[in-house]
Amino acid sequence: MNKYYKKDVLNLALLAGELMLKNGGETYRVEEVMLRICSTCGIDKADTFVTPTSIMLMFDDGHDPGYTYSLQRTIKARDLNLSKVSEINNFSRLFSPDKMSVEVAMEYLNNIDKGNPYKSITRIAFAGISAAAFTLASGGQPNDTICSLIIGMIMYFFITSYALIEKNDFIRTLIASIIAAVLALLCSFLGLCSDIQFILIGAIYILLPGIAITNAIRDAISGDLLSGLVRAFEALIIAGSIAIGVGVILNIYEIITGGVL
Amino acid sequence: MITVIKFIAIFIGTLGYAIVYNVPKKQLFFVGLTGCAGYMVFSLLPFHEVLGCFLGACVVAALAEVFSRTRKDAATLFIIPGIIPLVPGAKLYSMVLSLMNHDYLTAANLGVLVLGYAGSIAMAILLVSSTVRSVIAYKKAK
Repeated sequence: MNKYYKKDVLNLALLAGELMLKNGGETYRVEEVMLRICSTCGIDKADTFVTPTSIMLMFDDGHDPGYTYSLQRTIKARDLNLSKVSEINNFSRLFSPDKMSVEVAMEYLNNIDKGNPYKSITRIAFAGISAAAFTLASGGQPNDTICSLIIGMIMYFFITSYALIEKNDFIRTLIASIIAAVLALLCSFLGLCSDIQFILIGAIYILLPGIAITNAIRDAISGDLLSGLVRAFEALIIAGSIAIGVGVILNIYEIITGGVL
Repeated sequence: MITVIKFIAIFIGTLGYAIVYNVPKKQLFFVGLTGCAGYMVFSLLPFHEVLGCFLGACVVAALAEVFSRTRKDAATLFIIPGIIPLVPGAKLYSMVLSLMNHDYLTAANLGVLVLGYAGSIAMAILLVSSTVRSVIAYKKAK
């Protein structure tokens, strides 16, 4: 086992960790995956430091200073793609250097990163359907449901296209909730719906920071207090930006029309 | 009849949320089931909503652990979409609305209730997940 091989293995582990963290894996799972890949390849002394914004992977091999590696990746943008998390998790369990060389494994991970289980048109359609279903469940009439279906799709279309240029969750959610509020008011202005309340409730459900909340709790349980706090803060910011976006638009509407909603 | 329609809508809504966040196709039905079961338990206790929310989230977390064993996938895959129907979207909306209308008393009331919901969901996941974790650790130690 030469030093190049070790460096390749560390790079593979780092790539797996980076992809998992980017796509919404919990911190402890990222650490587990990285260390598992290292130890199946015979590197036992590696250690990691993972927060939601960066990964460090360190390895000290005996006395020779040339054999000390320390790799780091900063993660600026986080996307939410649970199937990639699940695939990389399964990969780390099945991977062994006897069956698959490190280069092939790198290629495999890059292919996981490229693939998506659903086309973006499917996701947009289901965002609309989801919003409509929640509108119906919270007591909306059939015409509210149809409005909500269309607004959810438009909103999610904006989110997917805007995600390509702007990776900031806060601004994206803020603008998406502003769009939802404006379109809901437009629907009520045109007389298409009975109450904008149900439409907005349905549309809000797609924007909710479910992953941030769940991961915050699970990180805190497993002892990653730092990550737990960071993710809880992220969830708070996203929830706040939904409230601000909807609140500002409704307030402006009230000022313009002079009526109370 | 209305209740049945509501449950079907919750099932579809959870499914849609799961697709938006790219849950793998073979788990979709079970994700919908998790969300629907949690909401059913929640709606059994209409007079004590926060307790209902807590029990609903407990069911979601427990089902997620069961499915993660039987379906061989991460438990978060089922928890994340599963808790979405329990989130008090309507109360959050009314809170923002009453804040806007300078009705701060109602806003504070609703805000405390929303915090209660959020806290009870968090506590339920914490309780179930850490119990499962310690049971597994105990079995491994034995």
